[in-house]
Amino acid sequence: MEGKGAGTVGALVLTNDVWNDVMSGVAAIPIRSPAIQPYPGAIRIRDIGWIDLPAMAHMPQGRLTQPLYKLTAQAIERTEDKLIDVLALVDLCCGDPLPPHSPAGAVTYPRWGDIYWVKGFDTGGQDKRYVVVSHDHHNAANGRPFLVRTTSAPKRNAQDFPLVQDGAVHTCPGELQTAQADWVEMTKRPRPDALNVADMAATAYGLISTFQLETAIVRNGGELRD
Amino acid sequence: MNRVSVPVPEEIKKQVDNCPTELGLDPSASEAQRYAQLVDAGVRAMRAQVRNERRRVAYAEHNESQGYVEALETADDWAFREGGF
Repeated sequence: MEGKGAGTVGALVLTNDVWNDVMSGVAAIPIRSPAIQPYPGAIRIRDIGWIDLPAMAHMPQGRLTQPLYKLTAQAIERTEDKLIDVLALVDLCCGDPLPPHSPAGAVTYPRWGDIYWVKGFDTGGQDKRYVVVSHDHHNAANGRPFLVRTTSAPKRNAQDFPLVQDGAVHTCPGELQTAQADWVEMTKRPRPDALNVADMAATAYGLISTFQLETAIVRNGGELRD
Repeated sequence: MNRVSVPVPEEIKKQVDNCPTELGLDPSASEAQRYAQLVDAGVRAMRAQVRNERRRVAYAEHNESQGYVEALETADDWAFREGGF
């Protein structure tokens, strides 16, 4: 890919094939060079490097060059499993939706289910509303919450762009990305400032659809409604 | 309701006889069960096709929306810069 640093050897694209065919941007995870020390629990790929899941980005397709490797099914499954875990998708989508557990103590981090203004990802852009979709143990420890943008623009497909806040806005799960926590405006908050559990479950279904995680959910012990 | 017998197309017979497991056919199932499994696989494939067509239309509209264009234009490449740190 173009414009990457020396510590990055490639990008793993995770959005579904229809999205990748139609959209100008894709959700991509950086693959780091083996020269960089991986964080504990990172998914290593032999001879290539390791997958930096908490640095997932939404990037223009134009930055991708030719395909470099075809990851093994096991490496992709491990990545999907980690994503399902950090987004608490089994708890939210299988049976009655359960909010993920949070650590005890003061909340000093962007919190699961809360909506924040996030400075334009290139700071020159207009601030936009994002909802935090990663669980709070990740948000508290990692400093890179997973975010999904909300929009008031009408959307045709409520499965991939779930309606939330009593139908007032849609979430855009295909734009899932992480941000550095200090880009999230913690004091000045939009109104309303959170989604309820049902809205988070709808967004979780959208994540499963746009990231084609149906099989992975079953592998992780979940069962999806038809 | 009257039942009508129609010949099974050769291509379908071949599928049932060869029993490709990627279509969800179970080699230990009876021939009748395998026909039923093949119909299920066909229905699933058609559903997936319909769902993908609906996605395609919705994604194409989203791709043109002002919010998405802005979000993509201002996307920061922090995650892909030197080590991402």
